[in-house]
Amino acid sequence: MRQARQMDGPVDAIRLTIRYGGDRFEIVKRTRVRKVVPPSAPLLDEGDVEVGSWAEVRAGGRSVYRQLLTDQLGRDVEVFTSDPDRPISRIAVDDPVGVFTVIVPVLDDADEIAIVGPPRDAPERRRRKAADRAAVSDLVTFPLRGDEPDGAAS
Amino acid sequence: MSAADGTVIGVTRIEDRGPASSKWNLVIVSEGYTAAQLPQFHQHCQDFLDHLYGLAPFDERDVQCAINVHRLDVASNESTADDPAVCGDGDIPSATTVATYFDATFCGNGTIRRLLTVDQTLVIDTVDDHVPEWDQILVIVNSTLYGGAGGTVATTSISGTWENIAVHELGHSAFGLADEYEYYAGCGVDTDRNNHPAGEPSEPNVTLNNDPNTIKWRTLVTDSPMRTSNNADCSMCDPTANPFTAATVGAFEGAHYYHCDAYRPGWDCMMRNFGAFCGVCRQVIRDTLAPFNTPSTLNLMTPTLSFNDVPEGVQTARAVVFDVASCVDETFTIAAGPTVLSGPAGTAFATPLGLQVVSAPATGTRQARLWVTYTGTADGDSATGELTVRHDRTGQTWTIPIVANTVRRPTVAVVLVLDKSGSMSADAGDGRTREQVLRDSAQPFVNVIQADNGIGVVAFDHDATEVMPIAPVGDLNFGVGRSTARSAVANHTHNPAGFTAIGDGIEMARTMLNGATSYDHRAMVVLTDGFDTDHLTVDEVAPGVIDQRVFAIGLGRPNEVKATALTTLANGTGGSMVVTGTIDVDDQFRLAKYYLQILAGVVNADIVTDPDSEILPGQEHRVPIDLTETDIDADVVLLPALPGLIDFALETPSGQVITPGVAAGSGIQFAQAQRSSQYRVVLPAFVGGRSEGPGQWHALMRLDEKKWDKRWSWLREYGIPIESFANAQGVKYTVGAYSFTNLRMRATATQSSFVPGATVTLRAVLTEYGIPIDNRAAVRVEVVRPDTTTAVIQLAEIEPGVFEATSTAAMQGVYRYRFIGEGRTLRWRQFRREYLATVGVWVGGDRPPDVPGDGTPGGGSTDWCELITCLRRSGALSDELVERWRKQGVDIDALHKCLCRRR
Repeated sequence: MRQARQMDGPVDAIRLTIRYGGDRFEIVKRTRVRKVVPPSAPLLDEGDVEVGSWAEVRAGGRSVYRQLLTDQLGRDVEVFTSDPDRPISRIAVDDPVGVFTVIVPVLDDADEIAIVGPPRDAPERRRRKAADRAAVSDLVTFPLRGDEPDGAAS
Repeated sequence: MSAADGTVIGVTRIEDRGPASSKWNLVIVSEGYTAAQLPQFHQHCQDFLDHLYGLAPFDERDVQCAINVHRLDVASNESTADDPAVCGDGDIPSATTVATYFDATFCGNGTIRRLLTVDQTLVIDTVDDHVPEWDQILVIVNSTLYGGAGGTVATTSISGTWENIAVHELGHSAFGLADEYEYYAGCGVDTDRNNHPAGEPSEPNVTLNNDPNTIKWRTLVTDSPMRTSNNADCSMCDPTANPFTAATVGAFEGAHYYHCDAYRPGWDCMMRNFGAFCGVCRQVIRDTLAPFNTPSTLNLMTPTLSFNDVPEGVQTARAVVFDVASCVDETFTIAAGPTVLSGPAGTAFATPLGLQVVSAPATGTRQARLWVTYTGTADGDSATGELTVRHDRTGQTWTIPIVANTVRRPTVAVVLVLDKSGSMSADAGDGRTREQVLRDSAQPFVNVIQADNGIGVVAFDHDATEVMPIAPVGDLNFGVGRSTARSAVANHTHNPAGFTAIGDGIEMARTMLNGATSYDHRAMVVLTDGFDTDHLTVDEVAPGVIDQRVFAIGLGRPNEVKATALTTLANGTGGSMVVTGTIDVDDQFRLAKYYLQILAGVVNADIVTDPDSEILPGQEHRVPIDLTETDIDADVVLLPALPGLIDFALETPSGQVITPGVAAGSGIQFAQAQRSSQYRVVLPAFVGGRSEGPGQWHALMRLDEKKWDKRWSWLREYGIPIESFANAQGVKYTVGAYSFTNLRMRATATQSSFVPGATVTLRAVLTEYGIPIDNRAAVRVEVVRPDTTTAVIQLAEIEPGVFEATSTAAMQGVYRYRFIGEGRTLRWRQFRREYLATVGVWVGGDRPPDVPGDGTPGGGSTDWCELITCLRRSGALSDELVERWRKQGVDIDALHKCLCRRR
């Protein structure tokens, strides 16, 4: 893994509002804003293996900025109760739908952003094949350059 | 069930640590609160922040400094949230449907009642509109049912430990923290959560690696060897109680929804069981927010404290100034001193506002000031000293040298030269005689003149009399010279047989002033209502002989007073001439204002503002007065038409109200006389434990209803209701502010001739510390023509700080010009200066002045003028006879004036 370049002060950034449903992702809103962006998570090089969900800005296929999307893709939900023995628990969602946003810096050489995570299988199958969760892949990529319309998805 | 079901009220930044572009912005949004319930939402926001900032690391300064919190008030038509009748998890819903703006609903996915969702897209769009730089949204739903959901738009109801739920969700969405609990559905419920599958989790607070040398949080491990725990039975949650201290960071088995093979850094954590954040989570939060926290900066802006040219006996304050950029309280303390290192006996430096100042958090850079005072000792003295200031949070210290010297404040001897000729008994135009107007108008001059100056009084008709020799003015209330001058003015009466020899008055004043050698400057103020009818005339005063400044006031129309000669004389000495024109009831303060303006000119002060108004019973008027860092002191003077009815107070820039009772304790002087009330403020003043200096002050005037009622109670005897009378009129007043200042406006109205059609050049020069005010100000002139029509003339800045325009005085009479200069000081503070000037033109105004004879038949002239002069002066025409003729329609004095004027 390697550390991303830190950016000092406000920078031009893009906020993407992404709607998902099943294995479909679409950008519903793309706004430019100038602000300080959160620091990048450590960047993964070829051979680095992690499991989870994140947004990754790439330049020529190489990761240049990464932001974790912990608990945001809605395959299960956290439920809070008044039961002191089970204040928090999780329940799987069969057909996850929802909206999340990610804000990333505008980098000169960046050309795409990928949403990375485990395959969007049905939870029953995932539970049976727990070991498969180790595998993560691009769930969707969006171009960051050009005149791509909002909502474009690959 | 949508945006139609409510209204977006607006956003309030309730934690402001700096520009939104530089900070991490949390937006808290209301949902399910009606407009009437929004105060409850505000309280819920505060409850959440109190809870958050009580948790480490959010209780740390650097973390708090990174965060702005915005509260978005959205009023829904109905309260709470939908709770559908059918939900798949067997929980018993309340079957509620309500109209709320973001359509909050339990059972958001149709199967889990505790899943509380909102229209996320609408939330994001709404927040985008108000805080485009947002980083995290928390929607608080006004329901006491348990519920919530994570994500960049996190939701929580207000049930039970909802604040913890919200913080936990922020841990996920804002800081990328994983759940540290070791079950999925619950301990004893799960059957497939024994061993974590392969693959290192991406989150920083859970791991499959428990090697102390390579574990991802190895730099945060608290003990060596690293504390660890293992779950003895991977088919269940580890039931062991925490054997370590709460702050221990190690590797404890059971995390990320699995009983074994996954490790968490703390035994308890907000991300496990709502405990305090573990050490790793704290550091992740700190690291995530670090780019949003601009480091504090402290810069000493006054490496030396200089008290330059402080007048004798005058206390002057200077501040040690720090420029501070910080989002938390920064405290500066005088750790040593101020100490006198050299100087004459009696030298002292003091700290009127104490030894400490706390600079409150604010956006951008602000200044912290520690005040030190020095009182001028004797002319020519100098002194040195030092003080040491400590910044309490860091312990940094600065030792600041002090230098000071004392000078004498320039003093002025001024002689009031007052006309007492017979014509001063005539009506001035507003129902008062001219001498009454004079008495009313000259009194404020005597009341306001500064204590260290000198004052004398001369009265003249055909001869001049020294009514009061020049004497020090003295205290604002009890000065002997001031009291004597007040009496001299109050007792000024006309001589029914007196003629007018203005030159005699000027000569006597000149002689008196020549003897007043202890004063730095000398000036006279000449008031007359007519032409010379006797020797010496103005024209006979040798122009080169008058070496004092002459200020002249012509009481009447320009063709009735000696405007031509007086203007020439005044202009030649650096003074000025004003002509009142006819005084009327709507402008009864005109002469008094001229007097006060002349006083300002005599003592080198400037007029800050000078409006007239009328106040009704029960009303309160607030007149703004802009004082700047260039102003040394200021007199705020109220002249009421009826004394004793208007309550007069000052309001400082911070809103403190100074009444006469409060003034004495604040270092501000208050004085009240028959015709004026006055506050004298040396800047900065220290009121209520704080310094009050540059900024917008206000003069507050209130007409007391009880006093008003008592004043007019006699009307009742005639059956006239006071109320109807009071509704028809109030008390006229004028309030002026006169500042001894380093920001000055010198204005003149110069006429090309004294006949109608004359060109008038209007010119104003604005300087700040003697330097022209370049492109920072504008000057306009409000003109009142002889026929009372008005106009506004904008002066052009023809060179830096010099403003000019020309106008034509087309009609006979007095043109009044009110110069108003407004702009910004070098420190960009708003200022205002005013000046009144007049020009008089009349048919025949340019003819050579008339010269009366010597008062004896055959003594230079044999016409009727000399004859009547002789008859009156010799007593051949007695006062009794003159009065009898006057009643019969023959005004011998008026006839005499006519004959002497135009021979």
